[in-house]
Amino acid sequence: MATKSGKSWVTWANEHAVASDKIEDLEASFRTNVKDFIAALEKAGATVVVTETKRSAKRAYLFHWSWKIALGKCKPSDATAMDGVDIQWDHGKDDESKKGAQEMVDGFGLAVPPASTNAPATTSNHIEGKAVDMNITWTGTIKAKDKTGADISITFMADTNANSTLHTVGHTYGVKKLATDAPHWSVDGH
Amino acid sequence: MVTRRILTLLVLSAAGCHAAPATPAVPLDQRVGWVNGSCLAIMNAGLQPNGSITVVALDDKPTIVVGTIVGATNSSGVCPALLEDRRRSNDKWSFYEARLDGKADLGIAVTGHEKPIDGGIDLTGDGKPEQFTQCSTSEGVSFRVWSGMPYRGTPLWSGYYYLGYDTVATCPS
Repeated sequence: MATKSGKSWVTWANEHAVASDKIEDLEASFRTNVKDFIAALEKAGATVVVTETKRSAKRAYLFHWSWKIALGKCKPSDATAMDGVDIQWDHGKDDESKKGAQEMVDGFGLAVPPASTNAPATTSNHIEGKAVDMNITWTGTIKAKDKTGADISITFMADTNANSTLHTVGHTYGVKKLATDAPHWSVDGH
Repeated sequence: MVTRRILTLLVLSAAGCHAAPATPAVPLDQRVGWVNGSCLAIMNAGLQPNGSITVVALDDKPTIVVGTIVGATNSSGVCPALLEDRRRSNDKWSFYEARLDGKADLGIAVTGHEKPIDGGIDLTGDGKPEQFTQCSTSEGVSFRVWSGMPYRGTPLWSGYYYLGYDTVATCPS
């Protein structure tokens, strides 16, 4: 029997639909590339902290539809079903459906400024295991080997998005930087 | 007589120094942060309770909201940026609970009680208000302050709120 949308789903998601921070959960070929890139950086003296790898499709599904229903972007009955997530979005009355969805938006901490028009995505490189979020730090300048074995001098920049030399080295390993989100690297730079 | 003139000049000189526009000694990075509801994130661990802040709310049309610091916080109930799925990627910020006189789902805060100029805030002392913006990146919110036209050149200040989920980027390239 389906459970109505509401804050209990936040608790459920935090137990059953959490994102991984393990490299082992990445898609096989990308996983190898990430491991090689990180190994090169660490060997050169950098500290790498992986914060997120594969995201849960179920969690993304809950984010997406709670956001859309709470903000009145769709009717509760428009929500699609998902295997393994037995949620009842439509409570029978629109205001109660919106209230349940809003509890989830609040519990998940979804940023929803009034002008926002785009719901959290249900598909992404993270969900496919083809993206990694990581913080890379070191002091001064290190010499890291790129995929060809060449030593590349990389000077630390507090703004990772601006460190094009680091991006270039990652690119040789097939780990590509998205320049708008500091921790984000992926298979295609998105 | 000569001594009296020198003293007078020194006094006038000192008064002149006080009258000149004061350049804040605190670096901009420690004076500016981003706001999400009643949460202030800023790279300054030394803010004191009851300190004033001025917020440019960026929910729709930018508006000025004043407020005060309640105190440092480690609560994800106050600061969604501290939720388990995003805490580690936001850990370079210091977090405070703030009490605001108006609504600011997302905004940019400046410490102190800034006098609005033409509906904005002048951070550079040139008499002109800066431009404050927020937009979505692929998995976060980008906050920026610009001296000139937004999204042209290098921002005066930038802040990034990692959301930990994927969304559609709205920031101009």
